[in-house]
Amino acid sequence: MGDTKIRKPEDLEKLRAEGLKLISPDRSKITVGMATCGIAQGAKEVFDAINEEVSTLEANIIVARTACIGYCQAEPIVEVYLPGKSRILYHRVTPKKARELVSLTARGEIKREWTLYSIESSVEGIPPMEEVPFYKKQVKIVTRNCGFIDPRSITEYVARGGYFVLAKALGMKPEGLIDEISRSGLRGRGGAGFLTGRKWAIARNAKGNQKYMICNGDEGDPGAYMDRGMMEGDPFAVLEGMTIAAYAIGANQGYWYTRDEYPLALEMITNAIDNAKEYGLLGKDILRSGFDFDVRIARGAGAFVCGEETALIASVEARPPNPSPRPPYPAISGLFSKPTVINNVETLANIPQIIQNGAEWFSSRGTQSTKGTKVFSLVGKIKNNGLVEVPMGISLREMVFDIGGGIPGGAKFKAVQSGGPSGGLIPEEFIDTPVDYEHLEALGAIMGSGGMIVTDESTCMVDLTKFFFDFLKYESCGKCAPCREGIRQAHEILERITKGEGKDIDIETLDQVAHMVKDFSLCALGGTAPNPLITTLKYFRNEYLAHIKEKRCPAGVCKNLITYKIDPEKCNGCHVCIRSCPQGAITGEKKKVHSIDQEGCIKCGGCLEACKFDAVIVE
Amino acid sequence: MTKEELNSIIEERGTGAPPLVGILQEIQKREHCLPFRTLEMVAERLATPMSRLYSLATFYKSFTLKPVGRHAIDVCLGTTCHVCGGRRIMDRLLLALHVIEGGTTSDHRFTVTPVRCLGCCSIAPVIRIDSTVYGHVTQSQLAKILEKHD
Amino acid sequence: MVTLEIDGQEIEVEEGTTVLKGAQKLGIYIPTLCYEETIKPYGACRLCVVETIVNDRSMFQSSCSLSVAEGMIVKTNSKPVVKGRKILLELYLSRCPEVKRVRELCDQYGVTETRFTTFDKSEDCVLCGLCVRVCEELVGARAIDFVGRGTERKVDVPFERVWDECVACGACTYVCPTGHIQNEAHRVAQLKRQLGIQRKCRYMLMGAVSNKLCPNNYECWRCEYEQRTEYRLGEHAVLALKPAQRQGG
Repeated sequence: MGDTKIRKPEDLEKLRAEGLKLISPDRSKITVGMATCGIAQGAKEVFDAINEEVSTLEANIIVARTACIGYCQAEPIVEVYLPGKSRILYHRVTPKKARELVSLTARGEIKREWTLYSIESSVEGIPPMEEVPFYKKQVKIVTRNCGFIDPRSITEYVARGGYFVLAKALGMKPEGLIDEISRSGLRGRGGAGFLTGRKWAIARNAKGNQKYMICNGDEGDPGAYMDRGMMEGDPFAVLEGMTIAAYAIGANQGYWYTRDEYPLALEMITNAIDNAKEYGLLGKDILRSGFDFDVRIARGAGAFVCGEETALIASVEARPPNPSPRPPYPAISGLFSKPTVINNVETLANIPQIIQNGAEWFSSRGTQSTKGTKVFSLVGKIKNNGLVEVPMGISLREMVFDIGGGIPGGAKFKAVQSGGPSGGLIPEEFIDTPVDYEHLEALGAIMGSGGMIVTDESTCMVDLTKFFFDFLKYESCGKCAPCREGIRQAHEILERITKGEGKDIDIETLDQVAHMVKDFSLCALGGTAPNPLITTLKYFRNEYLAHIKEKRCPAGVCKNLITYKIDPEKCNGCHVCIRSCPQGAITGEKKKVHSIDQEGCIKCGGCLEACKFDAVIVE
Repeated sequence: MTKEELNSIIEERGTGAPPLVGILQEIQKREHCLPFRTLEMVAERLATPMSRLYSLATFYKSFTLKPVGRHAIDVCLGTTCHVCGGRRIMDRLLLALHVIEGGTTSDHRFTVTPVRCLGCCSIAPVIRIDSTVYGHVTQSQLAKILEKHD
Repeated sequence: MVTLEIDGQEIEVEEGTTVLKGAQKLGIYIPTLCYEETIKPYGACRLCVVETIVNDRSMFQSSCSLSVAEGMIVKTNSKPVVKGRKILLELYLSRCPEVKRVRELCDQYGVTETRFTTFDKSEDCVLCGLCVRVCEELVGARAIDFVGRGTERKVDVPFERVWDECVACGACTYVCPTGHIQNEAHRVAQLKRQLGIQRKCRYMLMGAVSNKLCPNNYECWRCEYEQRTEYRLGEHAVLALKPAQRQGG
C-alpha cells in the first residue's frame, strides 16, 4: 500500500501513463454505460451478455463499465473501441444485439445500422459526436468525463488530467485561488446563484481555526438529476474541487452530503473517497504541501428541505433538519457553529477546470451576469431526453427544439418548467429567452439546480401547480407558519378548483397567499414555493378560469372534470380496453364498438393507454 | 436486533452526533423498520434523548416505525413522472394491491410508498422495487413487474 | 454601538441587539407568538416579520432573530408588512379558530373571519415550539420534541408514552401561549382517531388497553376514579405527563 501514495508530480505522470493505457488499450474494448438510468433500461443484462459472450468466444476484448453519457433516450449505450480506429457508440442495445456486437468486434467490424455516433476520429457512414443534433450545441466541460471513464478508477481520472490541478492549486496561495474563482464569475449551481468566490472569501476571513467544507449532493428537485449524473459519472472531479475549495478556505474536514435515493451515487463517492485516501490525495500532508483534508459522507434520509443550507447543517449534526433564520450565514457560523462553505456538486466540479484553464477562459462563455456552462436535465414531453451541458445564455428554443428535438407525437409545446418546485413555468411566448439567472428570474422562474421539464398540451397547468403544492406540503418541514399553513391552504383551494368546486374569489385568494408565503417564509424553500403558482396565475390564468367558470379541464387531466368516451369511428372492437379496465366498466362484443359505463369508470386512464387505435377520447 | 449487533453498527460508524442518521439507516435496512426496543438501546448507548430519535425517525421519510413488507415499492411522483402519468400508475397499483399510500399488503409482500424523484427522469414514469428500477412503466405492465418479486 | 432607523425614529443600540428589542426600546409594538426573552430566537411564527432596507435593498426578515446593522432602515408597519400579517393571521385563525391568543392578535389587525378551511376545530397548538425549546434550553430535559413534518407536525412525547426524562416541572405549560399543553385531553383525542392502537392505562393501572376496551373511551378525566386520580397525580395539569406508575405494563 505504501508505494501507491502520490507525493510529487512525477508520481502523477506515472499514474497518467497507466491510465491512458486503460482508456485506450492496445486491444479492443467494449464499455457499457451503467448509470442508474442505464441499468433500469437493461444495461446490466447487456453487460452480463457481453461478458458471457467474450468468455465463450475467448475473444481478446476488454469489457469495462462507465456511467451516463447524457443521452438517456438512447440507453443502453455501448461504446466499442477498436485500437487505432475509433470509438463507436451503439444505442438501444439489447442482450441479443450485444452478443452479436462482441463477435463483430472480435473481427474488427462495425455494424453501421446500430450506431449512434463516433468519438475522436470519424468513420465513414457514422456521424461524429459533434454533428449529432443532441450534442451539436453542447459544450462538455463539467461532464467531459461522464460516460467516458470508469467512475471507479482514479487512474483513468488522472489520465484525463485530474489531480494535476490539485498539485497546481496547492502550490498557489489560498488568496490567489479565491481571487481566480472570483474573477471567473462562477456562481453557485445549486439554485441561488451566489458568487462562489465571495462565499469562499467570507469563510476564509471568518474568525476561527476550525472550518468546514460541505459538498451538497442533496438533489431534491424532482425532475433534476445532473448531480446524480456527476456523482455517478465523475466523482473524482467533485472530490478534487472540494479539496481545492477546502484548501482555499482553510478547512481540514469535509462532509459530502448525499441523498438516500441515490444508492449507486453513494457507492461511487464512497469508492472515490477510499481511493483518494489510498493514493494519499486525501488525508495528511497531501502532495507534501502540509495541507490535511479528510472527507466523510453524510447521508440524507428522504427530505427535500435538506437541500437548504441551514437544514443541511442541522441534518449533518443529526438534529431534525429545520432551517434556521439567516443571518448568520453558514460562511460565518455554520456546522457546529464554525465557518462553513456549502457548495453544490456541479459548482465543485467546475473548480478544477477553472484553476487549470484560468478565469478568463471560463468567463469567455456565458452572458454578462452568468458565466460558464450549466448542466440541465432536459426531460418530460420531449424527444431527446437526457443531461445536456450548454453555455449560459442559450435560448430555451434551442434547448427544446434543437437539442431536445421537439415534442414527440407532433403535440404542441406548452411550457417549460424550470427550477423544480421553487421554479416557475415559462410559456411559449418567452421561449426565446436566454437562459441565465437574471432572465429566468425576471420571468418569475428560477434556474434552480437545472431541471428543465417540458410540457405539452396534455399537461393541465392547474393540475401541475397542484402537484407542486402537494409536493411542497409533503416536503415542508413545518417549522414556520406561512409555509406550513399557506401551502396547505393553497393546496386545498387548488384541490377544490380541480374538482370543479372553485369559486370566483379563489384566484385572488391564491394570489394573496402566494405573495405572503414568498415574503414571510423562513427559508428559501418557503420563499420560492409559490413560484409555480405565481407564474401559472400570470401566464395561464385562462386555464384557471376554465376550471372555475366553465368547470372544464382544457388539457383533459383533472379527473372530476373529464369523461372517457369511445370514438365509434375508430373503435374496431378488439377487447384490449376491456381487459385493461380494472373496474370492468367497459362492455361490448368483439368486433363491435365498445362503450364505457360512466358510473363504474374511475378514470384511471388504463383504456386510454391500452388502446392502440386512439379510439378512447377524453372530454 | 441484539445488543451485539447494534454495538457492531455503532462501532463501525462511531459515536457522537453526526453518524446518528447513518446508524438509524443501518437499523432500518436490517430490520425493515426502527423497532422500539432497538431505539431504546440506541438512546441509551449514545446518550441521546428518545425525543430526538423519535423526532428524526418521524421526520425522514425513509424511516418507518412499523415493519414494512418484504418488497418495498417506491413509486416516483417527481415532476417528470407526474407529467408522464406517474399518478395514474400509483392509483392503479394501490387498486391492484388493495392498500393505501404507505400501506403494506395483508400478506406482507409489498409496501407501496410514494417517493419524490428517483433521479431517473429520462425514463419516466418510474417505479423501484427494492433496488431494481423500472422505467417507462405502463399500467398494463404492472402485473408482470409485480410477478417478478414474490 | 450601532445607529439605525426604526419607523422613522433614530436609535442607538449595542451591537448584536435584535431589531425586535430595539423596537421595544422605542415603544414600538411588534406582534409575536414564538418569542420569549429567555429563550433563543426561533423565527417560526413569522408575525414579527418587518421590512428592512440595507443598501437600498428591501427584505422581509423576522425581527426576533435579526441583528441590527449600521444604517439599517426598519419599517415595522409598512403596507406590505401589514398586508402579509393580516393574511398570516387569517391562516392562524383557520388553524386554531378557538384559541384566545390568536383571536386577540386577529382583533388587533381587524381580522374577523377567515377564507380558509379549518381542518380541526379543536386544534389549539400553533406550533410555536416554545415548549420544546424551554424543555431543551432551560430545563435540559428534552422530554418533548416535534414529531413528523410539514402539516403533520406536532409536539409530542416519543411513541406517545411517558418517559422518565419528563421531570414534570410545568415549564412547558407555563410558556405555552395557547394553553395547548394542559392536560391529556388532546392527546387522547388523537389516540382515539388512530385505530388499533393501545394505550397504557396509568390511572386505573389496567395495563395496555385499546380504546374499545377502555370503559371511558380514553377520556381519563371522566374516569369514575377521578377523585383518586387527582389525589395521586396532583392538581397541576402538567403532572398528567409524569410517569406515575410504571408497573402497570
